[in-house]
Parts: sequence; C-alpha cells; structure tokens
Amino acid sequence: MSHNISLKEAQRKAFRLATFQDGCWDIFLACFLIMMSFYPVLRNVLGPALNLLLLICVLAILLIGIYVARKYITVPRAGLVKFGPTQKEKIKKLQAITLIFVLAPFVFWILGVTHVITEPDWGTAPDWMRDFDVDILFTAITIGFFGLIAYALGVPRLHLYGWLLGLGNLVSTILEVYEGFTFHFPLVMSGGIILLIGVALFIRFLRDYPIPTEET
Amino acid sequence: MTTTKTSKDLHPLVDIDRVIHAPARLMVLTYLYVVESAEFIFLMRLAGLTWGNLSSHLSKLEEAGYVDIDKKFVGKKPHTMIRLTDQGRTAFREYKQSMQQVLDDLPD
Repeated sequence: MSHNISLKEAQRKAFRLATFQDGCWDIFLACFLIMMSFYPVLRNVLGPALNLLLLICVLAILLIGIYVARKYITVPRAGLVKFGPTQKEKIKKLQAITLIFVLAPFVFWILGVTHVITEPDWGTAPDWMRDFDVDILFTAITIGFFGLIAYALGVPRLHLYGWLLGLGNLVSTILEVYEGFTFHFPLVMSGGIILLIGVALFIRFLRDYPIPTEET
Repeated sequence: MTTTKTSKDLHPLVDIDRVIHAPARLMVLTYLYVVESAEFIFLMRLAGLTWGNLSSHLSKLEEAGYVDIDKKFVGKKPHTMIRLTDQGRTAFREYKQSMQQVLDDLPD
C-alpha cells in the first residue's frame, strides 16, 4: 500500500486507472495510425469515396472493440468510478480541445478548397518550407496537443505518442513527395511502437488485476 | 526563557479524528474525496488493499457516518458503490486543516 497522499495525485491516479491503465486507448491509437498509413495506397485502389467509407467502417469497428473490451475485460477487473464535478469539467474541456484538434484540419481543408484562404507567399523561403508548410504545422500542433493532454491527465507516455504521430506523418509525407512512397511506413513504425506499448500495458493490466473471486 | 506547549496549544493534535487518522482509512477517504462515488473493486485497486482489509476499514467509516455504501445487483453480479457523505467530506476537510496547522507550527 502506498502512503504517498496528495489530492491532485489521487485524482490523477483514479483517472488513470479508469481510462489509460488497461492500454485499450493505446491499442486504438496504434490501429488508427496503421490504418492511416494504408490510406493513400487504398485510395489508389478503391477510389476516394470507397476508401473514406472503409476508413469510417474500420474506425467504427475499433471503437466498438474498445467499448466491448472495456465492458467485459476492464470493468470487471478494475471496477467503476463516477468522477466529481471538477473532474467532469476538466474532462469536458479536454474533449472540447480534442474535438478542435480533430475538426481543425477539416475546416482548413474546406477553407482551402473554397479558396477562402490561399497559400501564403513564402518569398525567398527554402523549398522544403514551401513544400511541407502544412505538415510542419500539423507536426507542431500534434506534439503540442499530446503534450497538453499528457500534462493535464498525468500520462507522460502521451508526449512520446505526440512525437511519434507528428514525426511519423512528416517523414511519410517527405518520403511520398521526394521518393514517391505512397505507403506510409514511418507511420506504421510509429503505430507499431504504440501498439507494442498498448499490448504490454494490456497484458500487465490482466496480470495485475485478475477478476476478484470474493463477492461483496 | 523557554516555553512549553500546553494541551491548549496542541489543540489541533488532541482533536485529531482517529477514525480518519489510520493510514489505510486516510487513503480510502482521500480517493473518495476526489471522486463522486467508486465501486468497491475500484477502491481496492486504487488503495492497494486486500478485500478483507478494505471491507473492515469501510465498516468503520460507515459506522462513523463518513461513507455511504450502496449494495445492489446488476443482473446477477453484486455491485457495491461507495460514496463520501457530507459529514465525511466535512470531517476530511477538518482533518486536513488540523494536520496542516500542526505541521505548520512545528519548528524547522
């Protein structure tokens, strides 16, 4: 039994046990990244509309998988918790930030397509800045976003995930532009690392938290 | 001139709530303080206590009126939710203040 008591740490520990300790979200993120790495290849085969439909279907299957795993594996082992108003408020803020992070690229894409915003004039800037301006911006935002979530939730490994996702995407794009690689294998490597961490966490969770036999 | 502390000076320490002061119960109350309610298993995992140990501490906290234990069945499975009562929340806050005062008054 740990005797180190701090209200803030207690709150973080409770949140971690309820959400991140079983590795399910890590596995979800890893599968999503691996799926995204196949996206450009499949777009050439299936066409954009069917490819998008496939992406949405796989995403839905992953989310259902997470729900089922948490209901039948995590909850019987770790139990349930209802958070207080302060924590709920914090979760709502983080959900709002996540939604902005997910929706912002779509909004920029629509604004770009409709010519509401145009390509900035880079003047005498080097070619790489001109070619990868959006990707560099995306990498910086991804690292910042994951860093923010890692700090707010007290889950340090999310810093690593931010770097893996951001750099994986940037290197993939560079390789696609300069070498013509449509299969984003750096993203697969990033996803693979996260998947290994997720599976290790999941196995540790099953080992540390067996289903209790005694009943209350 | 030296001064000795009277029992009045040590008032916060004398009045310390012994139900809360036990390390395991303090741990349980700390976790319950930061959530709305938690299932027995969740609390057991979080505090790192055994089933019997947590059960015994919860009984003492329930006797003191600090926690509310709600036992029900969801399907065929027992489901025990534990929540800090208003009395328990106030007692925890007072305990925290008393301990802080005692520790602040200690010389470096």
